[in-house]
Amino acid sequence: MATTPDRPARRPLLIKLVAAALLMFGFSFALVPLYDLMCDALGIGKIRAAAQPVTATTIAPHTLAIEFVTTNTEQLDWSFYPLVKSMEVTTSETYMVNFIAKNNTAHTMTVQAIPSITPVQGTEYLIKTQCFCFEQQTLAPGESIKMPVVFMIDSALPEKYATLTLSYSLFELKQETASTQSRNGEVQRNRGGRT
Amino acid sequence: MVGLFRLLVACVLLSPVLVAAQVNMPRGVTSVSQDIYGLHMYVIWIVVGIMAVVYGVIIYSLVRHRKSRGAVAATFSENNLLEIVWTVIPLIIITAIAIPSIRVLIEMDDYDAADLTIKITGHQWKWQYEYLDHGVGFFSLLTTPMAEVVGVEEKDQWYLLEVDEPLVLPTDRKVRFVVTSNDVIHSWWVPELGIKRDAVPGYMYEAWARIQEPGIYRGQCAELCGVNHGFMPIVVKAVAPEDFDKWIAARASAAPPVTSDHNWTLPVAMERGAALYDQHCAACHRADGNGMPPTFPALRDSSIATSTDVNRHIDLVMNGVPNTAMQAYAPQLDDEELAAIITYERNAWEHDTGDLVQPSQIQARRR
Amino acid sequence: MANGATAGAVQQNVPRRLIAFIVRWTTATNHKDIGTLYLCTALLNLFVGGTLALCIRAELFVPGLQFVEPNFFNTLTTMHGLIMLFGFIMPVAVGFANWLIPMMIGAPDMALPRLNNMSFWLLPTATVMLVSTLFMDGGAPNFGWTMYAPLSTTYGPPSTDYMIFAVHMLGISSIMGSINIITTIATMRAPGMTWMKLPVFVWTWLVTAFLLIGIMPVLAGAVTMMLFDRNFGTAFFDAAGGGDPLLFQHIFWFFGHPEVYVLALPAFGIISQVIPTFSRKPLFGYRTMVMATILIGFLSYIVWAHHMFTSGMPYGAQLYFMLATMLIAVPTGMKVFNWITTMFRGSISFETPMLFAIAFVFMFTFAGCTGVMLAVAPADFQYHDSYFVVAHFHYVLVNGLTFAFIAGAYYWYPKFWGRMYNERLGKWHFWLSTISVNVLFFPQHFLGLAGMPRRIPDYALQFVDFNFISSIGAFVFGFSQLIFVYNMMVSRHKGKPASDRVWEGAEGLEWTLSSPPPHHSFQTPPRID
Repeated sequence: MATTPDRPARRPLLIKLVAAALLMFGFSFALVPLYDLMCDALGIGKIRAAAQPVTATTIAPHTLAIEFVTTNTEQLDWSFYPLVKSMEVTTSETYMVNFIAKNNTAHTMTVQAIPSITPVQGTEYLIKTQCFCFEQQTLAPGESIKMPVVFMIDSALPEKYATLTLSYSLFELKQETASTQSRNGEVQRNRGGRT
Repeated sequence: MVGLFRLLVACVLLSPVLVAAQVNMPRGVTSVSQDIYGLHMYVIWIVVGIMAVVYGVIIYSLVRHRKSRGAVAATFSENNLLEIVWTVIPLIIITAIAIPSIRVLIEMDDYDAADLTIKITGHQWKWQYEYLDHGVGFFSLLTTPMAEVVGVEEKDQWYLLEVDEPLVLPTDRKVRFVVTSNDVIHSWWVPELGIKRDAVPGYMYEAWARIQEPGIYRGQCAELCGVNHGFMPIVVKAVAPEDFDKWIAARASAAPPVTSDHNWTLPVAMERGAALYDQHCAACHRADGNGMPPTFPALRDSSIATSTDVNRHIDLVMNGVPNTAMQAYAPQLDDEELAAIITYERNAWEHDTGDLVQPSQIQARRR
Repeated sequence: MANGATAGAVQQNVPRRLIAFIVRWTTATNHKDIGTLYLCTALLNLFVGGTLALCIRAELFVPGLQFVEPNFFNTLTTMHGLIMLFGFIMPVAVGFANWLIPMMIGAPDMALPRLNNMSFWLLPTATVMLVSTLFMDGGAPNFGWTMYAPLSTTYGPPSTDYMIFAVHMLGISSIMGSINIITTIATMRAPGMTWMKLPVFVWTWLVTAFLLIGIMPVLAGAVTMMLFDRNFGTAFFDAAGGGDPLLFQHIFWFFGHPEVYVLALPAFGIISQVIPTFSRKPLFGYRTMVMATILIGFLSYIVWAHHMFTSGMPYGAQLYFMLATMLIAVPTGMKVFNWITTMFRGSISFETPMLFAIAFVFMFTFAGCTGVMLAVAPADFQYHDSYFVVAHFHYVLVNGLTFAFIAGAYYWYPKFWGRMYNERLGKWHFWLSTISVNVLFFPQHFLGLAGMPRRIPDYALQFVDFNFISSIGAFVFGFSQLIFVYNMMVSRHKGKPASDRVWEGAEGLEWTLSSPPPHHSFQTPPRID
């Protein structure tokens, strides 16, 4: 080093460095609301948004079509389908649709359905008051289950969206993690088996 | 080597015909694709203009202000007016590009009611189409034989762009596509429809098209999705609305292929199996059964295909192997198809176990 | 730098000399030594990555599968991308920074020499780890350098974890290097070297260093989340557990887009040094140049999702990212105009560095124009993930940046080693490279427009002609780089001795030093008025 700073000069530097460190630390916490803002703007994390009811409005109801679609991921050998494929709905009214799931394999399996709504903009207006997508389903071989979804469309949904599609993708939860995770109430999935 | 050269010569001779219209983006057959094309050409001409000016000035300077011509360097290094001018000009240019682009974006952002909804599911490595309003659904697989890929046979005109069952769509009707995936991210791209839509597992996104002309439009998966990303083409066959109605009615009323209650002979099963193996299995396990270890094990001389325990083999094909690339085929193929493939695997490549799997055996192992 | 051994060493001394050699280089803390290490590593990696690229072009010579399996093809594209980005372009820029920044600002060395040593030695370690995955059971990473989940998480080969670790090390290396550069520029400037007197190369590196500090932790975060998804049961990018595969793309491109400018800005800096020298005229619009650099740095942070137009973003987001992306054309355009005006009414001569710099301006302008096309969101639905994109970013990275770094290599070679390179070979290298690189990448625009997706090992018959032409260009371009290596190696001993100023029009502190410069560049700080 070419210069050795004398003692008094160090203190302001130290203060600045500590302040910078605190600022950076604080910024990492400020990232949480910033991240939420970004996700809202970009339509990421729709599931959480969907769970939050939009406040009721005084806008006049209108009608639109809603479709129900199911997908089995990773060639899951289950039957999984809605009892109605589509319906005309009026906004601000509550409807119920039943889905059937049947385990066609030879062993007990735990699955979870993950919802997705297209167009993305419709997500926040589709309010599910009851949904099987909130919980895991464990079925024995050959067993089947009827699963209801109770939902309402907020009248604030712009009328240009003539059709909303509510899609469920069925994922298998690996046995060991499914049980441990149901304890802490989280939904996760083991990826370790591959490595 | 000789084969390679023959292939090369054939390709070079054949290709000018194909290439003639293939240096630019296709105009396409939907209003969106045509608007994209218009936008593309508009921006190209702007860009050509910019390049003409920029390159013109550079070349002028290089020619006129060469030291070898005795040019003496000027000393100016600032000119505020000039700098403001070339900040403003690009701003004007990008505004000129942005305005028509926004117009097309608004046009694409259309959520009016559709006449027909097609669900597209990307699989490793095939597309699944479901006509949601008609209860019709099928897989669409590449039909180019492996022999053409490895260069044993002459390549067909639509090499790598042909499928066993195209997506049939009506013209002049608004078709809405809802796109999702079964495993990894794929992307459904048909240039002539102006659609490229990523298929994301667990999520559904949509696109739409109103096709103006009947015809066959080809595309490919555009997002790297694993080993056979290059081998999952898309073929769309657009037909007149009345023809579409006839087709979909016939397709919907066609008896489901329940063919598991009859017995068959080894030659019949082998013939059927060889074709199906090429379509469903050869991409990974190769036509010669040697696979691509370690990800895709060899079937030739494998314990599973040669042991006496036929049921183990059947279960493996039907249920797949968890956490590997081996999918479960029970939900994808019918009893007869599965029986044919397994029979083929047990008798091809000098395995000659003589085992004949009957469709009823498969049915028995389904739940 | 022959302070290691004497010419007449006897046979028995070979092991000792070898040890001395190893110790000398592994413990090097001098900025020139570290710079040399970076540049040599980058050159080596250029050839490793280039070999992979030639394998790709060989496979794509004609349709059908000839040489490699589809899985290995994906491995090739992945490793080519990773090695070229992290192993070649980034280190080559850091190498120039190490060599030049102390000399340009009148300092004896970098501010933190030991940190400098560590940030270098992490690089070859990480690169070796990355390359070693090619020989692992299950194969090397095969999901593209963009590592999109879930292909890289649920479906990735076991070696992916090694890649993640290598990326972590590279990130740490880059961050430490950046801290060093910022500290050096902030604290070690010679008296009178005010901010607005810094050479443009130093300015561009200052902004680059800040960009790196901003983005490398983001990349580290993305790959750490990948690691957790793969091994510890989390589901950041897995819809099954409430995650979102697109989240990975957002985070990745938040790193990935500024990364492009991390690579580009130092190259801009080199060009801004080379062009005035050979135009014998000061750089036009120094202030605008600096402002444009800072503006590009800022804008690069807020445009990332233009890589994801087809992924299902809502209309509003598409609109924003389209307009923000187009804005980058303004500061970039300012730079190009400034370079041109510097040449205008100059007294231009055509030594090899100038030839490469002129080619850079031509081809980078072209790449910028296709960049504007790609920014147009509706049209991007056709361009995205096609060979048009491949052609665009290779025009940026190869025809643009690599040419700029080659220009820099020829430009400062006499200063670094005290001997001139062979001008005749340099011209050969230039013409062969320039012609072949355009034969290589220009036809790929047509392939993309005609509908050829990227990352495919085999293609339909309408793509035959242009792939054939492109592959020929690739091989000529690849082998013509050997001329460069030969020139650099032979001229070290056989080149004509260089004067201190080297170039008639050279300006700047580094040219006031001897050629080659003394071990500690400026023992006493020069005065700048």
